[in-house]
Amino acid sequence: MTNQKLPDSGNEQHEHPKGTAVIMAIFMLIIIILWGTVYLIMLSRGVSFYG
Amino acid sequence: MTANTYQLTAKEKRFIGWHFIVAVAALSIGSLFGPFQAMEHAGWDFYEKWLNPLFHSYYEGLTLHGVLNALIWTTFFITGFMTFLMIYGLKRPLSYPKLNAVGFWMMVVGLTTAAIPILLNEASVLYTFYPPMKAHWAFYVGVTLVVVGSWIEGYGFYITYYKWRKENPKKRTPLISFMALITMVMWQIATLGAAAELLVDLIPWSLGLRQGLDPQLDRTYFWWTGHPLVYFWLLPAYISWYAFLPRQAGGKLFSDSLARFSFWLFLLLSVPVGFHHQYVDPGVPEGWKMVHSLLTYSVFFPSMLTAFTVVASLENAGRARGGKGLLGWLAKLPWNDPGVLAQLLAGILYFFGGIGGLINASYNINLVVHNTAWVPGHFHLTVSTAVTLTFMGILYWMVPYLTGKELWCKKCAVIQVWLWFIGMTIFSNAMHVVGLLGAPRRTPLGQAPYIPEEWAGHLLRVGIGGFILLISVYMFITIMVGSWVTKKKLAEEVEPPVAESLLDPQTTPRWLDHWAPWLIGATILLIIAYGPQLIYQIGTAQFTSPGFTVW
Amino acid sequence: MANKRESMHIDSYEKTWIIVSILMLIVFFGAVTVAGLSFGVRVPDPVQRVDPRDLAASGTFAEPGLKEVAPKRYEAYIVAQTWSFNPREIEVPAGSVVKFYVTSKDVQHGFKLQNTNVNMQIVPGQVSSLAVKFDKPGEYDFICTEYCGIGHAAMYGKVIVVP
Repeated sequence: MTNQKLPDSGNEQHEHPKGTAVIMAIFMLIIIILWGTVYLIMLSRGVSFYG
Repeated sequence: MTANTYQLTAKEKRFIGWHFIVAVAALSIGSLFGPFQAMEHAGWDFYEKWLNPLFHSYYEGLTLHGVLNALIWTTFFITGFMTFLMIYGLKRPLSYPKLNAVGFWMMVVGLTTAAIPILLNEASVLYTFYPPMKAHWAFYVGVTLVVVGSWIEGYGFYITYYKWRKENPKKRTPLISFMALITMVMWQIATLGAAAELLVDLIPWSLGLRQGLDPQLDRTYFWWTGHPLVYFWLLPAYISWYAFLPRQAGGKLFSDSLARFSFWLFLLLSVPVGFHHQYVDPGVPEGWKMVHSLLTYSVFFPSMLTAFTVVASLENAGRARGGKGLLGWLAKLPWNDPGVLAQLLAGILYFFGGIGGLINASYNINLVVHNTAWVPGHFHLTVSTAVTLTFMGILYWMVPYLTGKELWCKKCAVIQVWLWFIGMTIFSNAMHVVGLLGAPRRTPLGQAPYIPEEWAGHLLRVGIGGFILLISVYMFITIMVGSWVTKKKLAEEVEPPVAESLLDPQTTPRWLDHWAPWLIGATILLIIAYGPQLIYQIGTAQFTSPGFTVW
Repeated sequence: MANKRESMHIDSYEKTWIIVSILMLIVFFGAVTVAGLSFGVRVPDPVQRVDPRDLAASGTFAEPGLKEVAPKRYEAYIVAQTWSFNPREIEVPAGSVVKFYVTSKDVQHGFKLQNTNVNMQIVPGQVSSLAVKFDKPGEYDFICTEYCGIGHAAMYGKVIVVP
């Protein structure tokens, strides 16, 4: 399925949302940094299970 | 006016309007107490000298704040908004308006019934009302009536939709009505947990008909509802972001099919995830906690989808308004329209709220944040901003639409929205940080003997943020009242800014308009996720906890 | 009869985002599982049922306090109540492993041992348990993190780790 021959409503040009891709990439980076930070905090607080 | 509009009657507009009046009235009282809490954290305690004896404690205030904001402001706004979405989307009146009116009045009676004991300091149990803390029975009855009233309004929606469907067998359900219906169905499945807790346990117990409860069982009932409750709040905001914001910004919805698909995923996945609020509960096994963790990660996915579709729709709008280059279109969005601004700023803070949610959901990472100040930091980005600020933005066009009068002081509205954003950023960031440092939630930290010096700066910022939010919320109330009483009539009726999508919805696949498979799927997932553990907990319940009035 | 032009029509950039999002969730979930199963950061699992009205009958909480079960291995039985922990102080030598067992006599409480991963909900009728190894000497506060009434803010105790 390609995006080339889509029926359109009106005179819309269907372009790829390049700006959105950039924003999503930044978002993904922020998620990884913030999630990763708290993950590392968890590890730094040590083991909670001793058999 | 385009051919896609529909004229609501004055009576319908009034009915919808009354939902918003109650909602905003609740917000005006509930939001008074948030800042008092926040300022207490900074060491400025208003309860001791000023609020006593009318408001007896930090905890009565916190109960008012949680119940009025998280339960009343939200539920009344949402049912009112849904009423509009059903009528305007399906282009027909409600089939039984009297039924919906019964639902509304039941919610009002419920609100009053619950409010009285709270104000008499007989129900300072916070909005989670965990037993074995025991409130006055009227509190539980009131909350139950609010929930049941919302169900009844939902039944009115279903009947209306059924009739529309019979007359329009091949048409795609109009997007805004489709989304309202899914939200309501999800809500009715979600509230079964709290209904069981209230009807079987809390009400009989508080009336003296039962001597003891099993608090772990009640936690499981509550959080069956407690998580999808947040989607009951969020999805109406998503409806605005998907189905209104693109047009308000000057563009079209990027993908009708993915918008619908995301909502089906929410119906499927919002409820079978409640144990992620119980990761550190003693009575739920690790295995089931892990299962819910996996399901919670799955329900994060439709929000990721929403992020892309909504931003792409905004890009469509920005470029339609002349935006060029990779990100230049951002500046072309109508930032000076308070309805749009509210949603854009809500979205920015929601990015962070969503990330926090993913962290909360991450099983053992929850050990770092459970019951710390991080948690209210998180939910003030989500329910208090993504949802509440968006709802404020909706009212900025909806009130003129309903009244036929101008919005009072559009410039004030723009400032109000910015103040909310700034205040919430300061407040929420400080709460997240001090929570990571170990500060607990639901605690008057100004009084706590164990707080170390390193928390002081953050607690000060909490107070400052709370103060800014106090100004912002009262600006909002003023604008609402002003818009209600103003004499300045609009020359033309506001046309609700319902967005078109890039592609005709009729090209969206048929399976995205069929209820049966999704309802069956949701039921199966619910049985798998809750069945065994809930049956086990009920079967092994020990009703050994009497009630305690500890405040 | 299906319309030939009916389809999801997903933009290829959005498809990429979908794949990236799912991958991210899988990687994060994997990391969390590793931290749990390999590294040993676990959450509470059911331990024992007790009657909060009669903790003496539970055996374990008849006498709350610290019990040494092996050299440098302790079990701490703590009862939470409005508005204090009993015992409110325990003392162990550095290098000890302490398994905490906490229950409530009355309402729900919280038990959060600062700077460790011990963070538990305390539910009457149930026993909450997690463990910690105290390598560094010092004082570690444990605080109540669940609203339990008007005295909640003052409810805390401490672990004193001596060299």
